[in-house]
Amino acid sequence: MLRFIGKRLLMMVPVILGISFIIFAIMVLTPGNPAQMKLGENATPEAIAQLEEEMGLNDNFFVRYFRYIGNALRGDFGKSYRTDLPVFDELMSRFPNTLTLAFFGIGLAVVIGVPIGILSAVKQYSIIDTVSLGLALIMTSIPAFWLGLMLMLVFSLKLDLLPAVSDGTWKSFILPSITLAIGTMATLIRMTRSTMLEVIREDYIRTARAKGASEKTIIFRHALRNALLPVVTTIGINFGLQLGGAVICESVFSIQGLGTLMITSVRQKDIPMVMASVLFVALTISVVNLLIDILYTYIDPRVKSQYVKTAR
Amino acid sequence: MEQKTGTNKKHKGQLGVIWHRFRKNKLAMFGLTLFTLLLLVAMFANVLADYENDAVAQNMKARNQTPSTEHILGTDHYGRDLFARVIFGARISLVLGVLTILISLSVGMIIGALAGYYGGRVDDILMRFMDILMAIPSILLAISIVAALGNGIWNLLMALSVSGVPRFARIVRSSILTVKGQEFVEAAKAYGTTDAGIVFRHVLPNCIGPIIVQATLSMASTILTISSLSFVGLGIPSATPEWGAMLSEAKTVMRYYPHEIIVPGVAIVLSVMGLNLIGDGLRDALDPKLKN
Repeated sequence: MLRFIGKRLLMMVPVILGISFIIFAIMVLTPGNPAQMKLGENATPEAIAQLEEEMGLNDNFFVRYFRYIGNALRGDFGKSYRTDLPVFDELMSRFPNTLTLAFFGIGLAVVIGVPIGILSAVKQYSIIDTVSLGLALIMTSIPAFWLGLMLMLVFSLKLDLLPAVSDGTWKSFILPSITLAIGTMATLIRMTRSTMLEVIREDYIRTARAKGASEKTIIFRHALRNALLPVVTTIGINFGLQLGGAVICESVFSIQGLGTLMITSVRQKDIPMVMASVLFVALTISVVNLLIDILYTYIDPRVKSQYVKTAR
Repeated sequence: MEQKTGTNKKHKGQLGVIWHRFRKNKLAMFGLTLFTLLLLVAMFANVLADYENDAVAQNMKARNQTPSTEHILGTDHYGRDLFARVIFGARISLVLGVLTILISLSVGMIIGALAGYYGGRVDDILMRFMDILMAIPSILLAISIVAALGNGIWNLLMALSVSGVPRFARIVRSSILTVKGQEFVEAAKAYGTTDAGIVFRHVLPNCIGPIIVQATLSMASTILTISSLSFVGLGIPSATPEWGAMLSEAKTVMRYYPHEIIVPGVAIVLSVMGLNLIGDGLRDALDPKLKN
């Protein structure tokens, strides 16, 4: 098991290096001189030249890239152009909000989406099935930020039940979580339904029926466990989308997270901040995918045994 | 969803069979209707309304009006006709959506073809690069590119296209791998057809189905991304009648004039839903497993 985790961790390294390289390249190719931006319009050429030297802007692209990575590994993502404070501190103060939002979102999607999917498969072609598929269709087509606005309009501005703007309380996370959950929920309903339908037709389900197991046992003990694997994969893939969606969702509800930070930083051309927040999100996604892979081995013994063979 | 299958496929070409199966799928036909409507509205937007006078010019005397005979969907915060803005918005979304798909398809096609056709090292390097691009959520990639290049329609187009490239590259690559060793490719080679000729004339026609499905679904998500980016102010400037930008402006007054956020939102939902339904329907119609 440890070897499996170790190997997966090693596999993460090139991906993260690749992502950071791409983001770094995009940021370095940005038109405009960072030293000039930092000092403002009225800076003298000498001051700019001096700062360029200090910031190491005259070095070769690869030297700069590896220096950035080296510093990043020590938790130093540079200083914000705008505030001149370390980027890392700002990131850490906002990261919990984004993560909370993403987890609530995915949690809600799983808690509602998976049961609906199961029900839909078990009662195929029934009214429940039609309604839940219709719901899933509408949910995939609704832009999350618009849904957020509509929820805010109804529950905050008209009914005055929930806060419209984040104030850090659990209540203020309800609407954003629903907003974020919808897309993933739709995918989960469809995914759970179709894998359940496949599994239900398998021989071992017929065997279970033949030996007289109750319908409940068949669905939960025999079918669900086998149908869960692709569902877990979907959850993993969607976590990345969740974090991407959180960026937009945060700005609807004015949540102080990485997303709002990213957007204001782009507007203010605060490159180190943009770069670090994108990297941070990418890193989180990789870690979550690793956790999902580990989870696999617990859900499906086949995956584990497969790995044990190749390891020897 | 019901999957009725075509029974009388005699005397029909392959396209005929696909169309026959697509037509039997009610949801897909509904999607096609929605999309055709969107297309017509976008094409004849200038007949239905005047861009300068109705959609862009501010009219402070007619601010925040609810739907009436004069303004069938009402007016916005600056007195601009919402119907006019929505239909010109359809034009922007469609044009940007199509251009994005064309760019990412062409680049993806070249990369996928190179990787699949030459294999080995080329394949490894190109596809690892594609994997990494895919690992970054498309909205983050788009935000980074907009951060680097600045706002504007062309930069937005570029930002949106980049994240679509890997998907098309994968499709083209895998279909090249499946047909590479087949006799008709050997035969074409023996006739002295060039590599590019083989790829374009013999290989690509074989993967046109999955490409169209992917293009339809990608266009739906592109329309969503465009409006999301414009909504947070990183896409199309807010004076332009773009759906996301309209929502961003309407957000400030939505408490009093909810129709201003409902109208553009419904426009987005309907067009995205139309494209998704067409994509799903095409995928089912093209699926060889559901034949007969």
